[in-house]
Amino acid sequence: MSNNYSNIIEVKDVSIGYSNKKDTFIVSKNINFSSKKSELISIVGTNGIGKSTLLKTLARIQPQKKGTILLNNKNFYDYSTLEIATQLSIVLTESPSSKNLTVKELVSLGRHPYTNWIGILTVIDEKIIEESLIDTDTLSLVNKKCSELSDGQLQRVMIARALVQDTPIILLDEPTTHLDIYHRAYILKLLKNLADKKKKTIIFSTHEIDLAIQVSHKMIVMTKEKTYFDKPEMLIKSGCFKNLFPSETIEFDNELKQFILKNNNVS
Amino acid sequence: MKNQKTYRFYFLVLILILIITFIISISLGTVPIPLREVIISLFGGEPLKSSWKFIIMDYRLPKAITAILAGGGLAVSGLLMQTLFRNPLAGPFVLGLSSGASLGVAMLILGAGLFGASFGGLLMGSWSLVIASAFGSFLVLLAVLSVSFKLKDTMTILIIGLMFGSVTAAVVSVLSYFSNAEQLQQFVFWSFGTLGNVSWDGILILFSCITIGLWISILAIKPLNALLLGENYAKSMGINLKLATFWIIVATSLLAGSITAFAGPIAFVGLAVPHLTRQFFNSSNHMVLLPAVFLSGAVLMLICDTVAQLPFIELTLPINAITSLLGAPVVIWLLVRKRKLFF
Repeated sequence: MSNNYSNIIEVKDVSIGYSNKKDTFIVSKNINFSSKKSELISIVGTNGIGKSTLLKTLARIQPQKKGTILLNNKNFYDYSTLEIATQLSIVLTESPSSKNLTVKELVSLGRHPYTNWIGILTVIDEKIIEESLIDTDTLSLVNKKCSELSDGQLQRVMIARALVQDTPIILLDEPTTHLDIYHRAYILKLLKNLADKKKKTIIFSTHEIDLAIQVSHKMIVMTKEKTYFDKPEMLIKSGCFKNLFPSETIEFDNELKQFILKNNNVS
Repeated sequence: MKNQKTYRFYFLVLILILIITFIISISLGTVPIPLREVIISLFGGEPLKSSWKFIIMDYRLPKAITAILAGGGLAVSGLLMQTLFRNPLAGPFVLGLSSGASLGVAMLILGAGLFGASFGGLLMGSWSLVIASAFGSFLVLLAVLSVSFKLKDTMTILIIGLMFGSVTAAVVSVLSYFSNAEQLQQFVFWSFGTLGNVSWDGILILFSCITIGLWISILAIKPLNALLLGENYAKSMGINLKLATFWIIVATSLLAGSITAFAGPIAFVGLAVPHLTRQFFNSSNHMVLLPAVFLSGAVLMLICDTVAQLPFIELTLPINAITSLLGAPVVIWLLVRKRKLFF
């Protein structure tokens, strides 16, 4: 098993993309990063740069195009679907297909890799479910239906479901979209907490670069030319955020650690 | 989520209603038979008139059993389709499954005219009807599904299901055009839907098909529940999606196909019952829904059958008309009340 010092996930020279019958489209090349236990890693970059594709590749929803991914020092694709389900759980941008599910039902589904053929929950399952509901502050919502939840509540419930799956790694695709600034901060703090206290490795994509800099242990910055991976301070020092967006409209301020609107061409 | 006790109470009530409707369905008919005599005959005793025993054992009892099997089976197939396509409007009828079954039966009954009568006569056994009908619905479902893998939008899939329905209907009309009156009548009567023409042998076949279909559905409860979150989530929870989809399709076509073969295309039960059941049980868990939907479907079909017999009048209405007459208002009422149909 992995101890605190070895890499839980290692991505080496991976190219990501998608393919149809005729062509293969490579979205991003030469991605390298690795993560240890209990780390919060954010993925940032412009729209369409491949953040979601990277996460979907890591979740094995999309096949990788090149390179190797090691999970606990074992090739990612040597795991069975069921084994992967006990290693990583996901929170996607798509909301659950059924809006009729109650929160309890939805969260319980996370126990699937562990339950028997018909999905009966044991006492242990119930305990894990309750813990996750408490950790995400959703215990009061258990009897509500998904259709009755606000975006922020639904996001917390989806995180609870991922927690219930009891995996060392959790992947989240833009968990802060559609949320107001308070709920964005709330979700990011929750993720940070889960990484610190529950020893989870959490990899998430976000557009909240300012907030991500504050909470993440490490960041993956995807640009057209290259994908950077380092601690936020190091990335700021290297000026990596400066080149993220066209500087005539918005610019990163290294001192303030945030983006500043350029008002020189507002007339 | 309601606790186990509430569910148990609901199930008890449902089973009780099923027994009551079952007895009502058997006691009512063109020949009035006192309830006491009905129960005596059912338990193997001798009623006052021996003809009563014959009516009950050889006509009303098989009909009531067919109603239970057909209603329950269709409702479950509707539930499977709604979850598989994650669309509240899915059902064996809407997705062209029944039309596919019609095509299979039309090929068999009407196509016999094209291939010669002796060939047709050879194929006319009840097994061949089942196979033709199940095969027809399986083909349509496979076609709908193969298209659905390319198109992610479920609304498009439904429209394509309707298109398949139109195509099969067109082929059926072409076949009808070239058939003789006798074959045409046989087919038209089949398409009205009837629960009364199933012999004990037929019931055995129907029962086997439905039992297998239900068993596959029970084995698929876990993937079905996972699919409620969507395909990507289901995969991430360790579900073998291709395998699960395949078995759900097999179960659906087995259920809908065999029922359509014996009882004709019966509308609305598959669509309406899962929605009604979700309302009452307030759950999306297939472990609860599957038995509940089966029981509710059986009850609804028995009620429809009782209405179709028009007690005390010597006429029987086509069951297909009754299910639509009862089913459509229910769906409309649900839509108006809830404003939105969740699945």
